[in-house]
Amino acid sequence: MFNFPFMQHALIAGTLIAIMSGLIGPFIVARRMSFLAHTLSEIGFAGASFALFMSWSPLVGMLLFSVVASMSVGGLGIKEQRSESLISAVSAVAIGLGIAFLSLSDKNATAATGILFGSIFSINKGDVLEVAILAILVILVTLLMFRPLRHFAFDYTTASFSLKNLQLIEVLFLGLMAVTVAVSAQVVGSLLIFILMILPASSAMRWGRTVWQIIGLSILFAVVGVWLALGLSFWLDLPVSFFIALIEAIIYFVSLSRKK
Amino acid sequence: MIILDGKDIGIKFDDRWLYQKVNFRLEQGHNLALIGDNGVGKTTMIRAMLGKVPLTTGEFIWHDDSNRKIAYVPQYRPDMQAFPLRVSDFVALTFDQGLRPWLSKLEKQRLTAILAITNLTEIADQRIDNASGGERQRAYLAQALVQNPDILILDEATANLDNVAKYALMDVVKNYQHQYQLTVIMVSHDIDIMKKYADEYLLLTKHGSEYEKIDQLDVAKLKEGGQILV
Repeated sequence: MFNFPFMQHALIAGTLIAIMSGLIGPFIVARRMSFLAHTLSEIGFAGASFALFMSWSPLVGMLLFSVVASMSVGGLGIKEQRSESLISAVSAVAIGLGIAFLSLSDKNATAATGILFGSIFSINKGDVLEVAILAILVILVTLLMFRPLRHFAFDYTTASFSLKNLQLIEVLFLGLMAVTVAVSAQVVGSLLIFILMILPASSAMRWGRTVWQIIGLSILFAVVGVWLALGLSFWLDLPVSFFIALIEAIIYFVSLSRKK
Repeated sequence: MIILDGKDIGIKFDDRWLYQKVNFRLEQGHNLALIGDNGVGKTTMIRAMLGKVPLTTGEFIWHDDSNRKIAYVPQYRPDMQAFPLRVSDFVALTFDQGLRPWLSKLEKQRLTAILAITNLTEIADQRIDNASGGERQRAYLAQALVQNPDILILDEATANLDNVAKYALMDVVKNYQHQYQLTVIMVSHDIDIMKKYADEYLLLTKHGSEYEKIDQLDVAKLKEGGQILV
């Protein structure tokens, strides 16, 4: 099956995206920003439909919308960021905008499903290159700011006193999150962003006892999920997103049943 | 040596003064107890010292070099319990400067030494959420000490500890303090602890402040549990 170029592209892009999401996920979960990540993906959906309407690449639209949204969130206090009603309102507007742009763009239903549920088998060489550049960028920046980010995510109470450039770290982190959301959506779609960014990290938190162990396991769970799903999808001819969701959910439920 | 002078400090929120004309000094290697009624603004005073809250009147005059490192052990730790981090990894979270994603050899030595000083070596590989209250509080302390601070601020560190655990914790602080010339500010309601470990006290009230040697503290002014009588 690896003789098909579409399969090679899917494998390269999928693996890179899994590593990136697996790396950033534990920080998002530890900082309790999972719902914000989900909202960013809905904003990304609006961005992608806007891009279709403008005849740009969906990735560009997603990046634009989710980065701008995450930067404006950075201006809000932490209380507002976790406010469920505010997040619901923003989600609603984002999805509404997405539907509006889709209908304006006169594209068929395939384009919409692609954005919502991912379309990894249809990406070409150029797309792979885009994904690779962004993923490597996110991974590098995360590793460079690993120390402050670790303190920020895992023990915010003391980090807010000991980190001098807290604001900057917060904004950079939101930026990383936004890029990860936009890129991951290429594989799993904007509706299912949780399955690569949040589920592997949440599962890893049940097993790992150091930050590095948690990150390692999170990446492992994400990568294994993507590989298995690509294979299963190839043979059984069902959507990749379905299998990733299934596999990551199984890993998560098994982890949950583990005694703390 | 005096490292900090607080001169005529006043903090006002909206139209309400928390306190005015607060005067005190902080001596190197000493332990200053910060006392006051609940809600009088002890934590606010600390946040002001850390530069997080602006003063309405007065000023802090620092006499040491500006590279001073202040480590703060906050009262509430809402973030901690959700993660199964090991004690050693939790303590190492405060190694938060620099670009190196892993710990250097020097930092590892520092971590081992601090775990030993805080009597955590035996449980270093255990999960922090399984540790007892006293062990957790020592882990918070270790997390602060590992940064090699000049000033340590303890916010109600002994409040939820039993009689054995609170003296165990404060003995660790005292030993470290004497060995490394550490200056300590502790917010506390516990008269026994203050009398035993503090050198001076700063009593904050709505109407002003009182700064004296700890043996001048008039216990009669404090009601049961260390609350100040109005």
